[in-house]
Amino acid sequence: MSNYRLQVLICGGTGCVSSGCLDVQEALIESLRKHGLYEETKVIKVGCFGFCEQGPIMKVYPDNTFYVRVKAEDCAEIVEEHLLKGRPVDRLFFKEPSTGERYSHHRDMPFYQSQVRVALKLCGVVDPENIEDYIAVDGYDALAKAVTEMTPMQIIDTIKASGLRGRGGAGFPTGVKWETAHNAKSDKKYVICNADEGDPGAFMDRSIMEGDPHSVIEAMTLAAYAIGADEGVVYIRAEYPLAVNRLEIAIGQAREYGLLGKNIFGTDFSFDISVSLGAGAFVCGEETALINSVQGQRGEPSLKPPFPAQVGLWKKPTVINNVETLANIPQIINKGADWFQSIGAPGNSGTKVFALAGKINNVGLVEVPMGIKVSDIIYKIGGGIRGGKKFKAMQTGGPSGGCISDENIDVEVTFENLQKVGSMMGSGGMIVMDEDDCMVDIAKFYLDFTVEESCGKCTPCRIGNKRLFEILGRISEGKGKLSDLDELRDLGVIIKDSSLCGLGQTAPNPVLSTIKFFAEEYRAHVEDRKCPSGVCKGLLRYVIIPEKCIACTLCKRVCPTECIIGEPKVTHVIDQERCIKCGACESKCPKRAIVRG
Amino acid sequence: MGMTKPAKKIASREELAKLKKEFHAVTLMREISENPENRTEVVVSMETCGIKAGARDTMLAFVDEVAANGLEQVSVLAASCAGNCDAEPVIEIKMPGRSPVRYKNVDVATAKEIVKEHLVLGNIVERAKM
Repeated sequence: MSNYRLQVLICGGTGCVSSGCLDVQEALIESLRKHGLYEETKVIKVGCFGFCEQGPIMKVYPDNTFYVRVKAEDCAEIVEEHLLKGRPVDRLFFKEPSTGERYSHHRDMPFYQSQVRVALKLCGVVDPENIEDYIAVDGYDALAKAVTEMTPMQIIDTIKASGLRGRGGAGFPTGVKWETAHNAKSDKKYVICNADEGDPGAFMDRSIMEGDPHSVIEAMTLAAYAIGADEGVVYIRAEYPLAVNRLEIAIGQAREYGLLGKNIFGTDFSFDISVSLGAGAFVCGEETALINSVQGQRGEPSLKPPFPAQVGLWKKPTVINNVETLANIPQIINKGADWFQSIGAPGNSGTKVFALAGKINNVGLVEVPMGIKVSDIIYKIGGGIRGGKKFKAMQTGGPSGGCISDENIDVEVTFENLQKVGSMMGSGGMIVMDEDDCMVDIAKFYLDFTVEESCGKCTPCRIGNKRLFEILGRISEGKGKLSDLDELRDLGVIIKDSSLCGLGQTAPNPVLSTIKFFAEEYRAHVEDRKCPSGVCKGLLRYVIIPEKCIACTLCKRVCPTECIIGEPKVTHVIDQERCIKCGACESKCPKRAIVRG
Repeated sequence: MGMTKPAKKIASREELAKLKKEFHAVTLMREISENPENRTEVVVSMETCGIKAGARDTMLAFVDEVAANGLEQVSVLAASCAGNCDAEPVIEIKMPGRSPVRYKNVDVATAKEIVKEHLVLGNIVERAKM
């Protein structure tokens, strides 16, 4: 084997693929060949580093240099200056927006300093398409230890003692779920990995599967051994082609090494995994709907109990775990329950991965210990609100969740705490909103999503949410009544109480939480017929302040409907009848004479 | 580099451990670079003057010798000119908790000697010391 002098890791997650990492890789290899460095350099396409905002990301070892926003054109300089001559290219270091400081190493960056990586430990570290990398960092050793030295009950006890709870959103204790399936008497049992990640803006599970698919496979196999299953299914949406591809490669490699298949590690235990593609329906993330979908039926939920751990796939006991939950498990077996308990908060051990997005400086995938304050996520890791604007709310839990307002910003992230402040953990979406966001509009956005994704089986969800959406529409158009606010609350509670599955039971949450914490904003829409953030077009007016207008005609020229009246040196006026509220004039005006009124 | 075909399916935890050891040689660089405080660094001056004097060969010799001697906690790094162009190739050995030692005119043979004497046994190679 030749000895590599250098290793260059390039992020190959979906985010960085979209921002051109494949071109970067090609250009890098070309430059390496040109300078005769190709033989001594190992170029690896890895999974997500998490700092998607700054992609494509490149890491150079042994220097451990962290380059951001690398373009194909930069590769010649990186090779010639850094890789050949040892002079790192400073201009490609990350620059912290708030301080202007540049960082050459990721561990010094505030974005990474408050993070603790367990589920994402190997993302951006190992080559996801090469099982050798995974084995090199103790991969499959937890499985080897389990099947050769531990009984199924010892594994279940370890998971129970670790306090691991489901990361898909519900927070159910994983060990208890496994024990139920273990105790169920049956000739056949299944393990399902729920990879039907559907919240808008969430990509935690996708990144794990793209960056470290073997940890998911190893964990499913551990679960199978613990409950006595011999067949596993990964239910994943076809919208995740890269994750599907890497997962299939990983399953193939695991089979080649005998880590899946018959007589694993020379024991009597056999297990194999197949991949089942979903069509991307949100409701199929609900476990009973998921089971129906795998069986080839409509993706509709069924009544619980019985729970899948008793009566699941093909009516056999089935453990269904989310991707992130599974990614924690090999390390718990390796390092023990106490180690896992030492991270996080009481009753909420371990970490949680969040997809941080919205009006925040550092957008990306972050993994934090449970119990961290929301404010620390926003200001320490996220680098604060973009453009120095004022924080308004953080939406968590996606379409099932709610908004955390400014008054609760210091809440410590646990399953229970988030619920107390009117939101929820959910699968890990975190969308930050600033003063320019309208909370009625946000509630409308999420409800629009759930109305669209409702499977239609039960009436409260199918019809109730539609009515909620219509009321919100009325309010945002300035046609709302004060009684509408009570109706939103009453109807919302009824839908929650009477819907069949988790989708309907949580769909009104975005409305209920915004109406609770931003009641003023709702009232402004109804009583004053005003949208304080200037988002709802039905309530929006652009007006020109005569004292500020210099009559330069710039706004007039940019207006697509030609509704601005005025000549040079004659103060301009907007014809409200014909204005379509596109805002083009506002952004063009050099004197900021055009305002939302 | 593709995957090496497994000779046979892994039949025990011991066999897995053996494979781990083999594959670990590749991931090791990433691991020790994450905690550079604990590693020994061989820093090779790689300016135009150094390259002209043969620093590329010197550097690769260090990489191979470090691996051949199983020195897991040693990284070979490139750096810019130290301002001693007539003494090139110049290299520096930085061990944690010790003052750095610089060597001059380090050709391939000297590089091998430095690995054996300095890195393995801890003896400074006086004849090449700067």
